[in-house]
Amino acid sequence: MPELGPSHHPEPDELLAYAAGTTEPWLSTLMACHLTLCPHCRQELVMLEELAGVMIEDFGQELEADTAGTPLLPKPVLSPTAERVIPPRPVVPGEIASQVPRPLHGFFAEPVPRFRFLAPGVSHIPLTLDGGGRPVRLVRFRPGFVVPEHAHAGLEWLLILSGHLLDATTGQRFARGDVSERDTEDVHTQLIGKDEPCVAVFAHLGPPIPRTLMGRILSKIVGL
Amino acid sequence: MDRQVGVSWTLNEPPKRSRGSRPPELEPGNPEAYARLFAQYAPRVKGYMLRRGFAAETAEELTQEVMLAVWKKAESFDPERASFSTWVFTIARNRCIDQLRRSARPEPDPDDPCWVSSVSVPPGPEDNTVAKRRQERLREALADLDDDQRHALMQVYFEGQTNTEAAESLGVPVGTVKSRTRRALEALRKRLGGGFNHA
Repeated sequence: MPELGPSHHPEPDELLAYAAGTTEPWLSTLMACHLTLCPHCRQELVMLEELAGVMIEDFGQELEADTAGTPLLPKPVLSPTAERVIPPRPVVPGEIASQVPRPLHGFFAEPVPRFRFLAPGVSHIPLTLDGGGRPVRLVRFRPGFVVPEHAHAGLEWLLILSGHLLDATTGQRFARGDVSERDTEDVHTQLIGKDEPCVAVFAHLGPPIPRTLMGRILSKIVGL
Repeated sequence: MDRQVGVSWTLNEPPKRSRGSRPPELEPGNPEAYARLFAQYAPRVKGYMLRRGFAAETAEELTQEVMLAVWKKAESFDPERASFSTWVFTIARNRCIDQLRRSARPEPDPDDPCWVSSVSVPPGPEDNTVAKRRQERLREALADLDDDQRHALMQVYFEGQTNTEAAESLGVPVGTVKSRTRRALEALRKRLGGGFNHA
């Protein structure tokens, strides 16, 4: 039986780094959102974590440090607790909560987040999540919107939360849960599906490099 | 420092009830069992913390905390999901992330209204053997990798560098680091025959 869920996944080395706990905060947060929507990658993650366990059992002697003088327990008062401190869950309007996975909810700048006008056909919610010096954000496009031909001076990592986006350069279609990664200086044009608005989380690790006049205008205003 | 004093301080707390999944070597309230667990895993956990870049004293404290968390949470260990070593690894990894960021990283939440469930059959009692067989296949596949490939994977898990940091320290482009680990993963998948999901 085919699995439900997305068909475009993060790069394998990104899931590996997530399992290892070495992804930057912006990427672990967006990975957690993809994992919420993707049973396939959750299964992969189980295997990648299991791999760490097997390595510890079979090759762990290479890791070993001397603990002969280490007391068995931390000092009762001075030492912080090993329990994870999970921040309280913010109140997010129902419409957004049903669309935006919980891992992002802690990063809304406003107590009640809502989409704000950015340019005709584009609105956004900035997030307090740093993606390589640039804020990660939720962007909503009107149906049929065209992001003119452009490239980026860094990785473009996006996760679709609703609607559809077509990468006109590769012909690939992206829907809820799908991840699109375009490497530095990959030139591409993105078309939004005509039936419904498209909401996506964008991380741009470098500024846009527009290739057309329209693109230059748009990139000035929107930063895409 | 007197190791026994510390042991009696916490281990006298009544342990939580086991759901039957607590490994037999972790008998509740038994300081000797805790000392055995510590002797078995603490050197590897501490080695991991040192490799993740913590100073010796911090690595030692984090190791103590991880071992205590393992002991206290033993009843939530589920052998149908993962091996005991894997579970220890995830606790150590999460503690490490919390320490580096001073906050927990957001995790996928099965209670999230956005959660997409798997259509696969939920884990049943027979999955314990499935999980064991999966571990064995992974073990064989890993033993079959050449030293360089295994080393590349060990580095990702235990040296704890991001791709960017690894690239900087090796003086090579990020793409080179990525393709090295990607090749190692591909070799592993090939030996598993069709990917992790089919292991």
